[in-house]
Order: sequence, then structure tokens, then C-alpha cells
Amino acid sequence: MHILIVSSLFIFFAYAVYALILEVSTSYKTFKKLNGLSDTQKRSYFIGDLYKFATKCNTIIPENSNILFLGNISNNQFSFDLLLNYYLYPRKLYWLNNVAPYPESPPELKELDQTFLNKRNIEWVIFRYPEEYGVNMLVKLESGNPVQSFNIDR
Amino acid sequence: MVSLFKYCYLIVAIFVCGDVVNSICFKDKSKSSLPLRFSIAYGLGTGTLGLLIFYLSYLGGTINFKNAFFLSLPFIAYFIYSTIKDSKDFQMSIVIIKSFKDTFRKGMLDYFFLVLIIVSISIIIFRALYLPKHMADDRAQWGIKAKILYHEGTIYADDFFDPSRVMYHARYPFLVPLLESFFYGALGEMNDSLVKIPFPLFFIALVLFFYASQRRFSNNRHALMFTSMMSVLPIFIRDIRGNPASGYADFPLTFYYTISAFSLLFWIEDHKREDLLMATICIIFSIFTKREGVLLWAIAIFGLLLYFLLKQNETLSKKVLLGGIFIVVPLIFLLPWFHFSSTVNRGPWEKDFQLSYLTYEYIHSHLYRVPVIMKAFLEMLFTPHYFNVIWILFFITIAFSFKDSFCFPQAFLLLLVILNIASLLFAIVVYPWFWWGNFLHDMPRLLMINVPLMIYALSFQFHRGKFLKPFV
Repeated sequence: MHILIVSSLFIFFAYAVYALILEVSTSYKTFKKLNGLSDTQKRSYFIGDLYKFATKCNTIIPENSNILFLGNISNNQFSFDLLLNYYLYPRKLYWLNNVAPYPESPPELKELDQTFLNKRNIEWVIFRYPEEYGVNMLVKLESGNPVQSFNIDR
Repeated sequence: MVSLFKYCYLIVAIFVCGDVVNSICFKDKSKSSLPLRFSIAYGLGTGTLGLLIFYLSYLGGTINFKNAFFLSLPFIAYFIYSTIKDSKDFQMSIVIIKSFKDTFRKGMLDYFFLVLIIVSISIIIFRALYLPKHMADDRAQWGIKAKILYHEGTIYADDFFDPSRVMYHARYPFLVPLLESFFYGALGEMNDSLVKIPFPLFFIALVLFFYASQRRFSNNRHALMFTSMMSVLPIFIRDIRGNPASGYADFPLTFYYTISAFSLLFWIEDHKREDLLMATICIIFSIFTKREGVLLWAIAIFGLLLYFLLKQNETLSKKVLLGGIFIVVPLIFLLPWFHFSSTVNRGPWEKDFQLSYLTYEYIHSHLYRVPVIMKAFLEMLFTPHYFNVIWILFFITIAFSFKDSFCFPQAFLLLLVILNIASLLFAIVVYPWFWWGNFLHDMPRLLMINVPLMIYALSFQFHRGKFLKPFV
């Protein structure tokens, strides 16, 4: 019994030392890669496309704007909208329909519920759809009508 | 420079608040042990300040650094007053620090365990403060709420009430977002690296608490060994979801729950009222940290009821004390939170679990998931990527000390672990959404709360069975 327990402990600590060395080396490599980078550059390194998309939105959309998010589920994996929500804040992101928040194909702007848009004072729409739909863009609205659009590179 | 000062003040204020609450509620109970005093001060400080600011905002006050500062002032004043008044305490602290230092002058093994602990703490501090938030829930769930609380200065922000607002689990408890919002307030900006300072401190506090708890029955080397076993587990040191540097609420929950569970165990052993009070305070903080806190509270109550059932010689007054303190007090203190959360947006994502799932038809229609879940669960237990071989060690130890493990008080921890695993597996089986499979990857994170309990049980059985006599 003692042998079994002592050998289990030996295995535990052998693996623990191995895992610790691995983590120290990973941390050191990360430190070397990120050394000298600004916070924004560090975020770009870790978060990639999502952060690029959010940065683009932040440069175009003024703070404290209300934004409608339209995207389908296949293009919204890894909680894209929820994470975008974090990076765009204090710009506020809304779903058109909170029961089915991800319309499969991009809806026409004219078909959107105007009462909803007016009630939430929505001034911008983010379209985030897969490449085949050709809509990865921001649209500025005035009284519910599109007045300007900005394509975002993939 | 001012931001840095405010940032440091906030850290000190948390410890001071906790230490004052500790000395008022528990007299000098933890003052003889520096690790225990540090860890309890941090736990009580974060929880108390978080809950006080929540009450303030519930009554219409503003959440900002200024109010956190004014709320902490009476604690700081009391701390200074009591330190000056009782300067013996200060001298005693120096003696304790010296004796604490002396305990490490033993041998190579002690240094080996200590190095493991220090390296794992360093990794976690590095990840928390140098890397930006980069997991998922750290931003999607907790981080966004912290930003809203900081920016809007109130729990009544529209963002929590409008069901169309992009929001993930708006009803989830606010302790972690509130703590983060204090640090945003101190920094004057939404810096997503420095805001993670509370998380490595939670880790250090748990390590110290775990060490101090084992010192109740073991020598220094034994306690160090099992503390190092806990601190080097891959689930804590790897850069994976829920790790102590990630900004998830799982680790703070682990910390509060561990103190609560251990305090209940000590209460069962020694019948001291302070232990029951500590367990109650920490279960309040657990419930205010994560929704699972309510489940853990229910499991702990069930464990205690079972204990009373089996130990029929317990006095009626003890049972009444349990009912009065551990069941009623959390309800009273969290009443404002329960009321507030009942008014918050209950979007479609919130309807995860309902009583209607507890029907035969519903459960039967979800049973096809069981083999998939069990396969993932067993893979997680028997591969070292998350928990090293701790589960295997745990099972071996239970098998070898079967009689002891299933007797109270030791059986209490075992019961908590088993009930928690069973409830998690059941929750995955009945989860209503099609992405239930995500939980298979999240299982290690959700089972993390059991780790300190399991290693403590191991430590106790090893000590009792003198399994390590030649070494420690």
C-alpha cells in the first residue's frame, strides 16, 4: 500500500515539475514576444480578427451610440457578438430579436422593425455575415434609413 | 501617479477591511497565524466591500472609487486605532513573521515544495497582470458588467434590464464585476490587464489558507507538500478557461467555498461557533460570486442534515444554531441581491434550468447524452492535463482508508465532492440548449471547486495513516 501511494506521489510530482517547466517556458516565450508592445498591440496579438473588427468599429462609430448587431450563428461562434459588445462599450450593442438573435441571412434594412429602432435610438447597424453573403460592414442610419456604409476587410 | 496611488490604496483597503471584520467577528482567532490572517483578511475584505457597495447602489448610491474610499475609511480608522491601542499585536506580528521564517529552515524537501508554490504563483501573477483578458467569459460575462458598473455607476443601468441588449447572463451575481469596477475606478480607465489584480491575490490567499488549515493537524513539511500539490495543478497554472489569472469567477468561488466547507468541517469537529459564522459569511460571498453558489449552499446544508441524522446524539440547540445561522443569515444578507436579480432581464439565455426539467419524460428524452458525458468525464479524470493524477490518488486513498473516509467528520468533504460532481453531470444531461456539448470542455473548470477539498482529504488521510512517515 505504501509503495502504491509513494509511487503515485512520485508520478504526481514528476508530472508537476514537467508541467511547471512547460508553463514557465511558455510564459517566457510570450513575454519575449510581447515585450515592448502597447496594450493595443498585445490585444491584437491575442485576439486577432475580432479585435481588428472592434477597433475599426470604434474608429468609425462615435462613443455612446446604440448599435444593432446582425449576424448568423455560423459566423458568430466563440461568442463574437458578446465579445464585440465588450470591446465596443460604451457603444451599446443590441439584438433585433432576443429569442432568435442570429437571422440566417442578412435582413433588408427597410424590413427592420422601425418601432424597435426608434425606441432604442439605433443609429448604426453592424452586419457580420460569412463571405458568401458579401456583407461585413457598418451602416449608419438616420430616422431608420441608411445614409452611409463602411465595408470592413476580412 | 495618482492612479497608481489609488490602485495601491484599494488593495490595502481590501486587506484592512477584511482584517477589521475578522477581528470584530472572530476576535483574535486567526491572529496567531500570519498565512491565515492574510487569507481571511483578503476573503472578508473583498466580500465585505463588494456587498457594501452593492447595498449602497441598491439604495440609490453611486458605484465609484470615491464611495469605495469613504466606505473603507471607518475600517482604516478602526485598524489604525486598534493597532495603536494594542501595540502588543504589532510586536506579536513580528514574532509570528520570525517564527514563520524559521519554519522554512528545515531541509531540501521543504525548499522544493516552496519553490513549486512560488513558481506557480509567479506564473499566475505574470499572466494576470501582463496579458490582456483573452479567454471568453472573462470579457463576455464578467468584464462587460464591470465596464457597465464603472461607466454607469449604478446597478440599475438599462443594460441589465433591456432584454434586447446584447448581454450574457445579466442575472449572474455581481461580486466579481463590482471588484473589477473598483479597480477601473482607481485606475480611471478600463485597463483590462491591471484590473485582474484581485485574481492572483485570490490564488495567494487560497494557498495560504490551505497551508494554515493543514497546520491544525500536521507539521510544516506535510502542510507544504500538500499545499504545493494544490498550487501546481495544471487546472491552475495552464492558460485555460477559469484559471486563477483569467478573470473568471470560478476561482474566487473556489476560494470562498473552500473556506466555507473547511469551516463547516472544523465546526463538526470542534463545535466552535466562530467556525459556523465563518462558514456562513463565506457561503454568502460564494452565492454573491457565482450562481452555482446557491447549489453549493444547498449541498452543504444537505451534508449537515445528513450528519445530524446519523449523529442523533447532537443537541437540539446545535441543530437550531445551524438552522438559524447557516440557513437564515445568508437569506437575510442576500435578500437585496435576490430581489434585484429577480427584476433583471430574464432573456432566453437565462432559462438554463427550470423545475419543469425534473419530469420523467424530459429526463428520459435526454438520456442519450449520458455515454458522451461519462466518456468526457472519465477522460478528464484519468488524463493528467487538468488535474495531474489527483483524482487517481483520491480514489486510491479512499479505497485504502475506506472506513475512515465514510465516517463523519471526514465523510463531510467526500459528500460535498460527490454531490457536486453528481449535480454537475445531471445539469449537463438536462441542459436545454443545443450547445450542451460545450460543457464537456468546461467540466474541468466547473469541477475546480472540489480540488482543495479533495487534497485536504488526502492530506488528512495521509497524516492519519502515517503513509509518508519516512519523508515528512
